[in-house]
Amino acid sequence: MTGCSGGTPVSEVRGSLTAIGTPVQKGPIEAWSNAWSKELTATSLNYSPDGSGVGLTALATRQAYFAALDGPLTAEQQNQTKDVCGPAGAFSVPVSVTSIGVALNNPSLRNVKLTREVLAGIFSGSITRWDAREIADINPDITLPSDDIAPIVATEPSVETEAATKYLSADPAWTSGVSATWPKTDNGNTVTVKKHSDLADKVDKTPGGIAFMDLGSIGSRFETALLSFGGGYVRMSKDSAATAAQEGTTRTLPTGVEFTLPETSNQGYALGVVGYQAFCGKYSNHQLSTLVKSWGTFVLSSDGQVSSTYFASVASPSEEAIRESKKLIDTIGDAQ
Amino acid sequence: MIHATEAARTSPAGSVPGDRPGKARRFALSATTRGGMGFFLPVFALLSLLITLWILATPLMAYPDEPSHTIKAAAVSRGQFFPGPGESFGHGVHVQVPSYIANVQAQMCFPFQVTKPAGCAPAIPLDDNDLTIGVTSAGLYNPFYYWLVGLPSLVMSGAPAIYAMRIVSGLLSAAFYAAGFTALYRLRHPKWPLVAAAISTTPMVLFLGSGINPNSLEIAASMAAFCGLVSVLENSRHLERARPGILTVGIAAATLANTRNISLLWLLCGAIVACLFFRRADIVAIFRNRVVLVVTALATVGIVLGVAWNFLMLRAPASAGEAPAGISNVAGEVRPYNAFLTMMDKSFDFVGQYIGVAGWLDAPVPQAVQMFWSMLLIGLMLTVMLVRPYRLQAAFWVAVALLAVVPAVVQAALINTTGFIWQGRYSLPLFTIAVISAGLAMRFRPFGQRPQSMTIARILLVAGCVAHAYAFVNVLRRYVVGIQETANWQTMFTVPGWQPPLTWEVLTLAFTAAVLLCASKLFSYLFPGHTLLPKRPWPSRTRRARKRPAAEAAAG
Repeated sequence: MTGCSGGTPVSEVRGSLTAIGTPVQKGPIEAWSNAWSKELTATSLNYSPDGSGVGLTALATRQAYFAALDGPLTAEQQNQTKDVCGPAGAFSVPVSVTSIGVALNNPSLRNVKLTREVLAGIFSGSITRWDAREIADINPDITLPSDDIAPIVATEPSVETEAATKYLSADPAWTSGVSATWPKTDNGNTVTVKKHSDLADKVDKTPGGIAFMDLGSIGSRFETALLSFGGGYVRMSKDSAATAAQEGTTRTLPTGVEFTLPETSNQGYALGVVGYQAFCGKYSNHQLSTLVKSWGTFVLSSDGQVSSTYFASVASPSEEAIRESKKLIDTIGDAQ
Repeated sequence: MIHATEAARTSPAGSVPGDRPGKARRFALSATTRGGMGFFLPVFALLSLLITLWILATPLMAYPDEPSHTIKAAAVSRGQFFPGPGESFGHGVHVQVPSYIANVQAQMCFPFQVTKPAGCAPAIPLDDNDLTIGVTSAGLYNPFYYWLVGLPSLVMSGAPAIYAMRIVSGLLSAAFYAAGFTALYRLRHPKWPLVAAAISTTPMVLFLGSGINPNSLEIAASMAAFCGLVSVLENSRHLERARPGILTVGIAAATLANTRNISLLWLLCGAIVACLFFRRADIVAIFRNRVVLVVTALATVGIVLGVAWNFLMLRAPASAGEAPAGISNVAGEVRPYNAFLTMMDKSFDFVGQYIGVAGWLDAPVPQAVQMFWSMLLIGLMLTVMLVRPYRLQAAFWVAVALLAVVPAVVQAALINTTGFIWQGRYSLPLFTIAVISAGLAMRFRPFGQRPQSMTIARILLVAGCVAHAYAFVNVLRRYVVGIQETANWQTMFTVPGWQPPLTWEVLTLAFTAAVLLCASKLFSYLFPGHTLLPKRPWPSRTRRARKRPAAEAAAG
């Protein structure tokens, strides 16, 4: 039955979805939301990128219908959602892979290769110039500028920093371990910004700047370093990120589907963050469960994944991960 | 020269204290009040009609920030006054509202896309009444306006409920505008002030009355408070004549304090300008009156409640995140003084928005309408310059200065927390006060009654009707077929991409008729015994009537 506003006919899938979660998924969720609402015009999505933990709390306190997370749901977290989501609690599925690149601001640096050891030296303050011997040794064909290196880091904790320090910690030269915040160094050239989203502007304004940033922020704005993941040096791109994602491993657990990027890859670019979304198994009414199921199905569909790859520069999880995740989304129902 | 209607009102029977016994005097006062109601009610009815037609002509959610305010209104009417802990997020406060209200954002397929008709918006179901999470960026606003406006959503559903909410909002605005007009009507020399008030009723003012947003109430209450205060100050020696004005000031002041936190600033500006029109002795005199003191005390209670709400919201549970772009526009480092200068630099840029930029700033009125109203405003300003002694101009120029400076100061103060957010509609309370001040500055000038004056007034009023109707139908065009590179008026008839309730054709005819009715009422008031459109028989019919007897005679 329609009101007097006229408009297009009423669809079965309709209503407003509210979600809270990680800032990393802001871009992909915008892309999915635009495409989903274009297809299903009587739907809308409100997403607030307030953080993965905030999203999970919101889901567990009836303040969100799904949460966008930086990692898979743990058993303990699942237990916290049982009051709201029914006896089985919530589950999480991988929805995107955000690649993290090393952005450079130095016009003389083209196709420069950097190893974990060199990056560890740069970000811990032991390598301070672009023409340092350690960099020259792995870039014999490049004339390196005799400029200072300015490592640029965000002071707020973030999953991107965690992914970068995890990548560095695979080399003994990095002694600070895996952390969501960058360790403080004595390097006077280090530049800090408050938020991760401020990095791109700061790199742009800082000659000699270098920073770990996501592919969407890097775009065509900055040159990136070629990194090695056990094979040859790989340039970060949508294709190389997709190659690495297809080599990832998938596990189906009671808490949902877990997807891990490979440690090593010959041709894939395996430095990234896997984004998850957590849904309830049961929702309070049929309209809501239909709406959430429609969202989850669209996000994991080929149309959804193409949208996020094209508009937000994120890669898809592997086909297996998508297939397993779709099975879980299909189980979403209502309590009535 | 005092005209018949003015003379009758300035010396009403029994209005001189002490010349009638008690009962008769009470009767005289009630007659005065009845006279005011006799003016207030038709003006309220006409303004309500005009605003309601704008409500129907504006697609749901085609009004700035309407989704957030609609959700807030539905929540407040359901008792959700305060955001609880864990309910405040970066994009706004979460509330529980019926699903069709929570999903009003789905209507937003056409804003900012001027070529796109509003027909893309989905129908709003009547039976989606399950409570669901709604998000509102107006979560911390004073609940007074929202509680009233949200009431229809308790007894209705779907699009009719939202239209009803709009109509409640529009009626509130119409009531305050009508109270303001009535206060001016009760002045000893009301004609120029009323003309100025009519000029201040731009297409934008009527459009703003059409949506769910306290912006319009803020403008209307500021106008009413200002006009009411002027009428009270003018009658400082005979305050028994100004009781409706006293009440208007009290109610408008308390309403303003409970509309938006900045509204009290407009009240202060209005009070400053109003006081500048009178002597200090007049201002002091009104505070010796018991009714004034009682109403002031009651209004103060309302003001204190409004201010208390603002302090209460400073202690509201913290938001879990930062406001996204669109709600907050902080970009780069702009110093407050630079923001102030930028605003001063743009002072005249906002004039277009005072006259008419409907929708989400995506439905401007035609340039011809902008030109016509600009002409009226400049004409008014030039005429004020002719007023002597200069002292009478002072309040008007202060009002103009406040219109330029106060928004600049407020924007400068907000620059580091919200970025550049100022729009012309925010300054409309000051614009309205400034335009009416022009009329007040001219109030002692004789209002010409010669045929030439009548002809000029007739031309201007008919042109004003055409401008209002042209603005109205052009905004409808934006929603019915979109504004394209080439003229597309004919497609409004052939392939309309959207139709408002009653169809755009009926709304346009009704609006034109209503605005003509307003103009003819104003003309008849300004020129008693005359009508806007001459009541002469059609020339051809007259000629035929003259010829007929001759022809009959010839035939006979």
